[in-house]
Amino acid sequence: MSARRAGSAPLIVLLCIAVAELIAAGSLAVAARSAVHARTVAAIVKARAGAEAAVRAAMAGWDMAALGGTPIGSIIPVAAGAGALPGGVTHTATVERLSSSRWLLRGEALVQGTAGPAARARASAIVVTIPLDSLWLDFGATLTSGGDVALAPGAIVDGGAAALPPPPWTAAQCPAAAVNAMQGSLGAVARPGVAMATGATLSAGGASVTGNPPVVPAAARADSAAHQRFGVLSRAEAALIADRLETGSITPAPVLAGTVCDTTAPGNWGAPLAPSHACADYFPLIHASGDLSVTGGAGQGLLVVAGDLTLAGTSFHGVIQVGGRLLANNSTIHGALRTAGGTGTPAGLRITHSACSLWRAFERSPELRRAYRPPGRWWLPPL
Amino acid sequence: MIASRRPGLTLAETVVALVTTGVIVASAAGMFVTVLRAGAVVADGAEVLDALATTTLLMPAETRALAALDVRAAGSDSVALRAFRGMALVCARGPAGPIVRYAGLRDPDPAKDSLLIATAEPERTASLISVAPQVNACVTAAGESLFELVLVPDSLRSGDVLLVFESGAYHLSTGAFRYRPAGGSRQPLTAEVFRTDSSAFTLITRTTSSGNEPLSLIAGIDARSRLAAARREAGRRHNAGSFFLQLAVPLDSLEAT
Repeated sequence: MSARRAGSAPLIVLLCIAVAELIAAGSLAVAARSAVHARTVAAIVKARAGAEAAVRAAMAGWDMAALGGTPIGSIIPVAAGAGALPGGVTHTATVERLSSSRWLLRGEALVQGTAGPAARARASAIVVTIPLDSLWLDFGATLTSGGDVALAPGAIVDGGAAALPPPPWTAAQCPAAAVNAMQGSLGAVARPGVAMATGATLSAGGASVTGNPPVVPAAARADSAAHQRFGVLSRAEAALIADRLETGSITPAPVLAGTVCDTTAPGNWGAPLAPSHACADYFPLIHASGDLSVTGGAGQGLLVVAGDLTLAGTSFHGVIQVGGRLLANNSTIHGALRTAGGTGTPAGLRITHSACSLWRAFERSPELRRAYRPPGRWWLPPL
Repeated sequence: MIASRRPGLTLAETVVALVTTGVIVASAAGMFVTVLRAGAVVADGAEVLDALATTTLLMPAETRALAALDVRAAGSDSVALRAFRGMALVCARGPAGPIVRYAGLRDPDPAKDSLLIATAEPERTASLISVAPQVNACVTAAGESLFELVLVPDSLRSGDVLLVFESGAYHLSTGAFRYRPAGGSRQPLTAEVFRTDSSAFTLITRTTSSGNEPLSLIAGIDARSRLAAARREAGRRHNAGSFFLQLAVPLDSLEAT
C-alpha cells in the first residue's frame, strides 16, 4: 500500500482565494470611499441650499405686523423660514433686529442621514425695511410745494383736523394708534396747512388755508431734491416696488372677483368710500411715470406721479406725491400732498390732513411692509 | 537478484516537481505584485479623492458669499481675496471702543485681521488695533463671545455689522491647492495631485463705467493620481485615477434676488 503524501493543491487554492479577496477588498475600499465622499458633498451642498432657502423664505414671508414690535437686539424665530425640502433637509430661520430698519436673518439647515445628522449649514443676510418715519416726515404738512401755489376761491387746505377720521371712516377704521403714530413721528397733531419751498409764492385769495401754522417755510422738505424721493426711496425705487403702474387717464373704482377684492383689476385703487367693501383694506402703492389724469372715481393708498397730476371730481384717501404740477377741479384729498412744481389754480379742491389716512396707507401698503435687500452686500459669509 | 527499492525521486518526478513549484511561485509572486499594486491604487485614489473633497468643500465655503470687491486679484494660478473669519455685531460702547458679539472660525487677531463695516453705506474697512475679551456687557446668543475692539477709524453705532477678514490667496501651485495668508507662506491644503499645466483659476468679469467688475470665479481642477501620472510619463495607458473638477463660484448671483 503506497503512503498518502500531503499535496500542495489546497494551499494553492487558499492562496488564490486570499489574493482575490485582497483585490476585492481594495476595490471595495475605493468604491466605499468614493460613495462616502459623494454622500458627504451632496449632504453639505443640500444643507447650504437649505440654509439659504430658509433666509429667502423668511424674507419672502416677511410679516411686519408680527415683527414690527421686535425690540432691537432681540432674536426671534421666523415661521416663514421654517420648512422642509426634498432629500431630508429641514430648515429654520431667526431674525434679529439690528436697528429700526435693519435686520439680520439667519437660516440653518440640517440634512438627516440614515444614522443621524449628515450635514448642517448656516446662512445669514442683512435685510432692510422701509422706515415709516421718513414718510411721516415728508408728509407732515397738508400741502407741501416746491413751486408756486395758486388756490382758486373756495379751495380748502386744512391741517387743523388731522386727528379726525375722514368721512366715511369711523373709529373702527381709525384706532388711536393712527394718531399716536403721527404724534410719535411729527409731534403735534394739528399740522401745517401749506409748506413752501424757499422762493415759492402762495396765492390763495378767497381760499381757506388753515393749520398749525397755516403756512410754513420748509426748505429742507420742499426743495427740488426732496421731491426726487419718496421717503427713503428714490422715485425709481418707488416705481420698482409699486403695486400698480398707471399712465394716461383713469377712473379708479374697486373691483371684486366673486366676493374678494380683485387687486389685479385695472383701475382698482381700493374702496375708500365703502368701509365694508372687500377692497376697503387695499391700499396700493400706485406709480405713474409720466402725466396722469384721474377723472371721477375714488381711490386710496400712495400715489406717486412723476409728471403732472390732473384730478377732476376725484376723491382720494392717502398720500400723493407729484413730480410736476397739481391740476385739480372739484376733488377731495384726505391725507397729504406733495408737489414739486406747485399747482395750477385748482377750483373746488379740498385737502384735509388726516393722520388716519396716512397711517392706513403706510401700514396697509403691502410693499412698504416687506423686507428688502440693502444696496450692495446683503449675504454674509456663512460663519 | 532482487533489485533493492531505494527511497527517492526519479528524474522525471523531480523535473515535474520543480516545474510545478516554479509555476506556483511565479503565480504567487504575480499575485503578490497585483496585491501591492491594488493597495497602491487604493491609496492613490484615496489621496486624489481627499484632495478633490477638500477643494470641493473649501472653495465654495470660502467664497460663497463674496461680493465682487472681495476679490482683489486673480491669475491662472492664484486668487487673492478677503478671507472672512468672523462676524461681529456692535452691541454696546466700552471705554476704549465698541463692544461686539462675535462668532467666527477663530477669535479676531489684530496681527492678521482687518474689519469690513458691512452696514455702512457705502461699506468701508477699518484697521483692528486691539481686541479685549469682555463679559456681561451684552446678552449673547449661542456660540457668541464678547470682545471690546479698538479700531481706526471708529465711527460705529449699535447694530452695525462687522466682518472680520484676513487678506489671503489661494494658489494652484506645485501640484497642490494651497492657501497663503498675508505675510505668510503657501501652506498645502491637499496632496500634490493637481496638474499645474491644466488646473487654473479663471475670473469672469464684465466691463462697467468704473472698470472691470468680477462676476464669477471658476476653479478648474485637473487631478491625476501619482500612479496615473507615472504611467503617463512612461507612455503607458493612464486613464485610471484622473479627475477634472470645475467649481464656479458666482460673486453676485446670490444677490440677484
